[in-house]
Amino acid sequence: MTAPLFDGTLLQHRAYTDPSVFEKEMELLFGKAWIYLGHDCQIPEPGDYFLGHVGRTSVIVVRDHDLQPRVLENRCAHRGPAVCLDGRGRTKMFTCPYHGWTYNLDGRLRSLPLPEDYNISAMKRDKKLKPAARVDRYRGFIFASFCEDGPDLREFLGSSRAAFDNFMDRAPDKSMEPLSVPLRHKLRANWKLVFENLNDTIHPLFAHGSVSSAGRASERREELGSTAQMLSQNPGRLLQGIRGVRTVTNKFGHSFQPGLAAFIGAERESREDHFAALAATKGEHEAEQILATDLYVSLVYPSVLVKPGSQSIRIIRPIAVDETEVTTLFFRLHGAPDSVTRAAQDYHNSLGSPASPVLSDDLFIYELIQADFARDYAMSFERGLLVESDSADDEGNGTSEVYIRQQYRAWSKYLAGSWP
Amino acid sequence: MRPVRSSTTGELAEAVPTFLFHEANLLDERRYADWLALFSSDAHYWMPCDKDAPDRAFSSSLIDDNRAALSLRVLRLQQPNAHAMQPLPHSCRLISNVTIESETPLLVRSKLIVHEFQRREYARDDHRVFAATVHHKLRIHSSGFQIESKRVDLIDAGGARTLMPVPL
Repeated sequence: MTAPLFDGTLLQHRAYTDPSVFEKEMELLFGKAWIYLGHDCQIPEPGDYFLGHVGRTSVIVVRDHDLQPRVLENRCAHRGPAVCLDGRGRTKMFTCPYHGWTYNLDGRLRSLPLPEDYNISAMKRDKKLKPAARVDRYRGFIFASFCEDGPDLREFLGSSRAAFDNFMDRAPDKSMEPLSVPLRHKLRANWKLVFENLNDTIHPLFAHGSVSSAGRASERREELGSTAQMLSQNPGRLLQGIRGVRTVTNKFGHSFQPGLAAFIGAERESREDHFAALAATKGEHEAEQILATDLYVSLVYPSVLVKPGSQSIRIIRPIAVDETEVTTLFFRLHGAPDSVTRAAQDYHNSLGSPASPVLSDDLFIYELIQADFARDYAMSFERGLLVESDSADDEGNGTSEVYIRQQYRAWSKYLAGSWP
Repeated sequence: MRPVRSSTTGELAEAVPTFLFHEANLLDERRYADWLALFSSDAHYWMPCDKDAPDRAFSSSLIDDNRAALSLRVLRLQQPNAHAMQPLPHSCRLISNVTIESETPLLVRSKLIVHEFQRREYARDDHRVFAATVHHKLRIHSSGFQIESKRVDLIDAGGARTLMPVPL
């Protein structure tokens, strides 16, 4: 018997490089956990659809005539090509490009040429686009699980439901719309590196130090957008604030750091406009509570990062053991003034673009890590371990790697064939 | 394809491509401060994700920089801890199909291919290729041209790219 890949603090490099581990992840983790796909507002009318992925499986997320969202594997029941080729659109049916089989919005076979030749009633094959075992929504955010049983979506999300609540609560008119084209980037590295990085509050001081030093040296700093100003602060001041923040995790591997945005200065000038719009529909007390709820980056393992304050969602799509695609979607909140949308848009472009001075260094470092795992090497996730209280294996201070340890506890359970 | 319009003076038809070649050389030679100096103080640099986006303010962009943000961007490239620039990339910019679309204002469309190379002792060498249609709005200035706006429509703006630290 081989040693476990994760021993509680160290993760063996095979977890990032071994195609057989990746296959297990696709089957046992992405084939079981609730995977994020999108939001109701992306498919308002029957026939509206977009494409997403559950692990490596392309799925169609489509609004059916009964207004329920369906999640269907994008693969003809006959000989396997995708039946939907556009990333999004509106349709009455899906037609296979190969032999012309057509399917209804619920995935059932609608018609096929030469039915007598196929002897359709006697065919062994299940003649439909295979639906996800379970589809559920929370505040309009659509998830699917390829596993029949296990925790429902509410239980799976646990305390991370707060991120989705706050996302929607920030819309004065209780609804939103997606920007038509998302930002995308690709890393030539394993998908787990993204999850390790995005609640890591220490790396910006070093990995992104060039942005803060350039920002402080720039001559027309007052003309920079709010995001660039945030990034060009004094790193020492940031560290003081971050120590005071808690990192909250749960057994499914999710995590967030309440109060972080305020500490790092991610609050925006548009807050007053946003407050006024929210107060007009919800009253001042509730408006203040909503805007004071600061969950910054919430990681929902293993598929999505939720950023309520910047109205954006990042979907992590594993493609191969050393290749990952990340899609950043941005939403306009209905009833919010343009200044709010613009500030969030600035943030989203400044941090989600592969040309971003911030993200380009992250992508570079992911590739550094992935580049040479060839020896007997294990990653260390021990930061914060010795300074945390004994009981808190699910919580730590703002600099702790507790959320990564929690991710790999969940990961180990999934890969052993069970739920965390 | 429209040819250079007959009303375009020969001087402009020659000076505009010369200016674009000069701009490209500055980036290839990593003379970022000189490159930045080509832009007017109210200049704007835009690399949209969706070239048909109706409103820049509400659409995703790979780059959406005013002059201050552009200045921060290139100042960062020269910091010793700009990791993505280590070691410094080498690049070759090829500009073609230069078309003067209007003389007043002076609007120029061109095609751009960039090949970037980064030696990585620790891993595989990295080659990055970019192809784009570029739109310049130029202002005639005492010392030549100034760039009022530059818009770069990458052919794969809607796709997933790896890092691109240096503006095109």
